[in-house]
Amino acid sequence: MSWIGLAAVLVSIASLLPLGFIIWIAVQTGWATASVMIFRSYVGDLLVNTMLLVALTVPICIVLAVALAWLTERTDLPGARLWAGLAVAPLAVPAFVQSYAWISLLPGLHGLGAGVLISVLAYFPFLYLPVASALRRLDPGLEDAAASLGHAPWQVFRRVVLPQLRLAILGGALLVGLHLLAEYGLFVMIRFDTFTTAIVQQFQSTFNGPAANMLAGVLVACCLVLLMLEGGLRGRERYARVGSGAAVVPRPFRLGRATIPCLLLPLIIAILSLGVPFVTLTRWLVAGGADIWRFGQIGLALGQTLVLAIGGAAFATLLAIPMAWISIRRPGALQRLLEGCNYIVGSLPGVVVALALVTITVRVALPLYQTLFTILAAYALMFLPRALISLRASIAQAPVELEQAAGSLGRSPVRVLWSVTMRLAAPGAAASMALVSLGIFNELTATQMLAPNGTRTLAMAFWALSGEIDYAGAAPYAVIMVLFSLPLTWLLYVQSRRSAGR
Amino acid sequence: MSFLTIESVCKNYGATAALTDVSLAVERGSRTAVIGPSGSGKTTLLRIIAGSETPDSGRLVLDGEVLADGAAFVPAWRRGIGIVAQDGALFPHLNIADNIGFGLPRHDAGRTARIHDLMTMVELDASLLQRRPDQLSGGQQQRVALARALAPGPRLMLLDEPFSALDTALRVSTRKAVASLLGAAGITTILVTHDQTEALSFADQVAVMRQGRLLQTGLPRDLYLHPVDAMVAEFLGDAIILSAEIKDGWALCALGHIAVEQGGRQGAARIMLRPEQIGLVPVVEGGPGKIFGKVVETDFGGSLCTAVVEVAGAGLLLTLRRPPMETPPAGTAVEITVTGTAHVLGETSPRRP
Repeated sequence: MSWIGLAAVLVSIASLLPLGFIIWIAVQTGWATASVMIFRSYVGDLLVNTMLLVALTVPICIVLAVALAWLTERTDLPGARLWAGLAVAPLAVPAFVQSYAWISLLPGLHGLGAGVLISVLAYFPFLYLPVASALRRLDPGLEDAAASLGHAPWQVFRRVVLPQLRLAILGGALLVGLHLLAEYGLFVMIRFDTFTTAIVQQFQSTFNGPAANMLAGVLVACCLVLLMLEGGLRGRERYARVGSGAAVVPRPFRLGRATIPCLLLPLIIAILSLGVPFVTLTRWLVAGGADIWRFGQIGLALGQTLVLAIGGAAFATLLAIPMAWISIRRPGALQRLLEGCNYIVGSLPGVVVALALVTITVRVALPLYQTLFTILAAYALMFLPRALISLRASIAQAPVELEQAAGSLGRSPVRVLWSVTMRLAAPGAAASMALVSLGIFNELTATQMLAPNGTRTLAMAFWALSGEIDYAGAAPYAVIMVLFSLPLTWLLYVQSRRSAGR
Repeated sequence: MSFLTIESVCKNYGATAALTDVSLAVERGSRTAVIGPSGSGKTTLLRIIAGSETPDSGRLVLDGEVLADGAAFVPAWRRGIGIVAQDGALFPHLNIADNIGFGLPRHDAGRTARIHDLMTMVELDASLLQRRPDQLSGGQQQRVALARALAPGPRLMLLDEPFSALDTALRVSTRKAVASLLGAAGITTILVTHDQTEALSFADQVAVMRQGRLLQTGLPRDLYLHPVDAMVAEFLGDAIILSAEIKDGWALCALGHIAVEQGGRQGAARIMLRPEQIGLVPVVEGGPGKIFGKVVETDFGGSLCTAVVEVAGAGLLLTLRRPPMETPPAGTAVEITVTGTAHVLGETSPRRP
């Protein structure tokens, strides 16, 4: 096997650490102790909370995302491009900032209803993006064919359009579900208990106790259930597009008199998901005046955050290169297995990854505990799948003939990878780094648990201040996080449009 | 009255005119081919008939029912018009049986039997029914698309270059099968294509389009032998177009005196000959009243070879395609003969000297 293959295997084995940790803990604790800790009413309550949250939020997100995507992509809705942008923009507002905006607007907000409301507003773009781009790629010839067979527009939508959006909907729904399981800040703010909030609480009170580890085990089980559910519903069906005929530009559906009511949906969503954070942040900035801009502290936090974000992004992208290369150039059983490993780990909540790394470093490699290396490793594990996606796409576009030519000129495979493939895939690598750094920029849970003493990232500072009900003091940090996230969100938006061929 | 009447239909996309004043009548049970180069507006015309597009102005009447008249418009799904698209447009999420049954009522007792009948009709094996569209070959996909369009019993069938994605041998056999099937079912059909052989052999009526206008409509043979202008002539096959002086049923041109149809114009005009009217007879020396030439170049191409013949004293080069045994080698002196009459072209679009 080549060096590249070996590197990919090593990365995949390392990425299995958190999962291995959970299994190891479960085995070590033993069934008797574990069952006592798992089967108690507190865990039952958490399970009900988490399940209700997922079961309510995901369907609402699906309906909302499909409706918005259809309005912006397939109708003559005035300002469709603007509404499309506004439907993606909430990605730039970290979920806990969204929660902070709502709780400071309506201090009484709490419980399941509030959790669902804020989760929908924070996460529906994860569904909107794939659904909108699937709608753009859909062959309008199919809809013409269905109409010629006597199907009214709503029947065409139900029997032809919707079934073909299935994969996009499933993928997006999985992403939203996993985020709901992993989210910490959003739910603590509105005093809604989920597994993740409970694990962090346990960790903070008992540090590395078996109780936290057992909860983490249940959380991992929930993630795996979601993954299997999605895999099962996805099935083996391939929706290959048949034929390649001249793509007809779809004729937009005329809304006519329904235009005004249809405009209300994107407008209301934009007000709730963007207007509320904007108004709240502006209010706190005005109320706080110049006092809240403590530039020394803010600058320090920004600097630390940038170091972690860029370092983590570079590390994750570097680790993703062998994997991405293999998945394009040497697809096969081994590659699918390795990719599966990365995928599962990438779907584990940050709190589980952090818990695993804390335990492993404390017990096995104490000098690494709370070091820069450990936190960067945690980021790399958490965000490896993100890095893989764009890298893989751009390596696929680098012609294999160039690699062969370079090889025939006497370069070793590793040097070819570096001097030819990666040069050509540089835009993809940059996009990978951007995506990963966006994730790290707003990461709270793992950073809190793993970062070296004295670290205070923007998210941590924001969290500490808002925890002390110093909402005004927290506002500048939130504003900086949003402003830094905006360009990356824009990149995501542009990329999704380009991948659809327009 | 005709089964389908298209009256003065116009369609613009922004500043570009896709269709200008197109009128066409289609008889019940007939087969019409609309032919034109790409961008000539033929697909737009088809989409307007199907109801996927609305005309800016003009009328569309099918079997006495007004489908479109200015702003009034019957939507595609109420028209009962079947389409077979270029790529088949099969639903990728449904198997073959569900694709064919898509336009049939879902809880109808005879549904399965009808699907099987249709499979037999398009000569496909029933074992394919559970397959997915992407597991079928291009020709099979087109047959499924045809069966699907036939299922609800359409009043009119539209074929949008349905054979162009197939390879040559398959194209001919599929075209024949489709033509005889639609003929047997008595379904009025409109075929859009850019392939002249396909149009001429498939249709009872051929309509030639260019730049959004209908240039000429008629029987395939009439169009081939009596095109209105050089463009139509060249679009439907190889043509030799010459300047001539017409007098009393004879045209005097570079190829000598050639008979023309009676009752035509007199004086200067342009005439058209099809290359198959030209004969080449190798000779040793010339004689009076005959036209001679010399083969300057030949190109062997199997069943059809190309010969370039220089007409003596006229500075005219004729490019002729003919069987190999009738193609004299380069350098041969030949007598040039013409069989049949020449066709006098109309005065429109004089493009060549």
